[in-house]
Amino acid sequence: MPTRRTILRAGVLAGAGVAASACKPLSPEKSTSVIAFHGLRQAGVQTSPQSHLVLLGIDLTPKSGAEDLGRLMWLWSDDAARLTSGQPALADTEPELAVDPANLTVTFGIGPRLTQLVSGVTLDPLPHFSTDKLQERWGQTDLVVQLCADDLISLTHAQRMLLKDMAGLGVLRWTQSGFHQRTDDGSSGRNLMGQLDGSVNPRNANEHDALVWADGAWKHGTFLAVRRIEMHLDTWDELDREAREFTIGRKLSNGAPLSGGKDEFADPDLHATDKHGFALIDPASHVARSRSAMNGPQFLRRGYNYVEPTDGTSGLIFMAYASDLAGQFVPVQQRLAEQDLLNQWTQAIGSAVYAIWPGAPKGDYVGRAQLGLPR
Amino acid sequence: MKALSASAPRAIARLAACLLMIAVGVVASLPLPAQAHVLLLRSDPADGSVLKEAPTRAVFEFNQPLAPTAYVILTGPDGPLTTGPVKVQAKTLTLTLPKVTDGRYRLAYRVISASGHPLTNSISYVVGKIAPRTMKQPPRERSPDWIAATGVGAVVLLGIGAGWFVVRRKRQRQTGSPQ
Amino acid sequence: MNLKNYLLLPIFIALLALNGCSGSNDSDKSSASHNSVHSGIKVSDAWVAQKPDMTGVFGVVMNHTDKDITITGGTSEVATKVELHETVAAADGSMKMRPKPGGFTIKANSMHELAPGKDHIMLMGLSRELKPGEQLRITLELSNGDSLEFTAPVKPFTGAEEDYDPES
Repeated sequence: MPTRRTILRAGVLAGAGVAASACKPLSPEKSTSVIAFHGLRQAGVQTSPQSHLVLLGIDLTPKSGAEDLGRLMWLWSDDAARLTSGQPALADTEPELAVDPANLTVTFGIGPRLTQLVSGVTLDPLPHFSTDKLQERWGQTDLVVQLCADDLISLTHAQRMLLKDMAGLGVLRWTQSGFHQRTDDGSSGRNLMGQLDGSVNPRNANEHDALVWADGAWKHGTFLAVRRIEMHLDTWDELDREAREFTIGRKLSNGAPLSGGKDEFADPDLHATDKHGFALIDPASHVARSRSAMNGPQFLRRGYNYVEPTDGTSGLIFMAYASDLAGQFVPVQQRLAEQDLLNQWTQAIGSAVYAIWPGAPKGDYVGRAQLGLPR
Repeated sequence: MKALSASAPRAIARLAACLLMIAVGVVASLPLPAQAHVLLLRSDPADGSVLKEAPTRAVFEFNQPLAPTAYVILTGPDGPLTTGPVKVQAKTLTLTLPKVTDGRYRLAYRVISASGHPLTNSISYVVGKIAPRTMKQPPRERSPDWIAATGVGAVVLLGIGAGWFVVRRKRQRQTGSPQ
Repeated sequence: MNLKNYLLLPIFIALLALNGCSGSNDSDKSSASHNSVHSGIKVSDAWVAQKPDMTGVFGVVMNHTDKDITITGGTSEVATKVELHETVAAADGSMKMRPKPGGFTIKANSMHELAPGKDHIMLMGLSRELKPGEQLRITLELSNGDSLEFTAPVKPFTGAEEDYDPES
């Protein structure tokens, strides 16, 4: 006699919700696919950004310790492992919503307070930046969960399942929802200012290994800075195209640096000058200011646009992943705080940092090994 | 009829005045693209002026308040010259100028309006009784062979640089795309 | 996704079936849960609802043997008594759960689902409050004389509030 579960499994099969990668060429346009949850490193970092983001800022309930955190991580890891593979979670009251994971990834991290539970790892809060106008409601939390997917049903179902499962262990402080423009040609998605966002990102495995993934006590983990950046689009709209490109230092059409080049990936030449002798990329422009002495990417940018439905404000949920935030991200942010023409239209209103756990192998859960808990 | 004939020209004049006022009003209320941009209203020294003595400072006045970020480049007969720091106050840009010899000078400026629009341009002026032609002569006597050699060298270096760049880009692309 | 994709979907499904490209990977699914195989009988996807006093244990019991096996009873470290319940419609139309006479029989080479609103195991007289995410050890007694031990995580759960009717 087939049970509801077996029928559901058949549905999963028929729907090809979890088509193995070998089957992908049969349906190149379909977003439906599975990104493995288990592995040396957590998914959702090096993963090409999916269309939708939900970022959850959560505090552990008072008096909770490593053992409580371990139980929460067990529940969350089990939910994530099942839901990302197109299976309902345990105690899932809406199993049908799990059939199509649509590249769902669930990525877990801990804030500075909880890194004290892990030996050998410290995480300092970001220094104060002069341009910040931070709001408490988007502030630091004990835990972060980054959920990303190409479908909102999959995403919101996973979000709900995880929130249900933290009852008694965690308290939700904030939810940041965002969207990303997926492109087919490898170009970066656009932000709400019209810019191609993420041109200077690590592009291959070597660059990710060098810039994103940590070593030592946090080997195969990474660190995340979340910056909620409000954009003043009303005044940005008043600028003509030339002024906007001048502010950024890139062409809006294809992201090419104003010093020349065929696309967003061309190296900006900060020394190229116009007929008067002024730099084609203005020294105060966003490109010039965010650029370090060394060319090339400094960390991984994983940006998602947001529109706050309650008040219509909009901006960017800027997520920087780096193996060392203080060494890679902070210097860039410091330079931008000192001077960046773009600052006139942008405003950091939220800020938090997290240590993103290393991945968990099959049969294990995220955080167990680092917390020193038994299997 | 007399009254009418007497008042007709006055009525026409009134109508014309009304129409003119309306036209002026319409034109004034039209969004003028130029108004969004920052423009140089006047400068001291003025563009194209001939001065008996070298000016000690330059003042630029614009139609809009300026952002603090501004740059100038002063170029004289012998090339670029160092000026004093640029000061921005409201719609005005001020800087002190170095003591210079007679000759033609070009003062290029880049300002950004407070609303974010950049403006890059330059003014030129002549100090002393220098005929404009003298400016066209090369500032120093240089051997043509030396100039040619420098040119060829630069082209070769550029070529090597470009080649290396292309190869490097290609390799970077081939190393693999992010997963 | 455009209409063309919808039209292609049945073909895609057929191709999948032909290729044997199955996305079902059971090893992935139960990666983090602790389940047990014994005497050819296995409990998978087990979980316990986090409730005070008494609560239900759910999951899928699979009988891989060629003989029917009946679960006749059980024990748990946190319960004074373990009962095997079924959920039935009472005369007034409400769903009530009550001990199932004779226990759960799992047919040869088939599975039996234990779920809220269906057959399930009840932990009666809990000796302490259950913590979310903790792993409970539960032992089931089988008709063939064997016992089947498995662990099940405690999950926050607010669904399926059937009445308990011990008198039926």
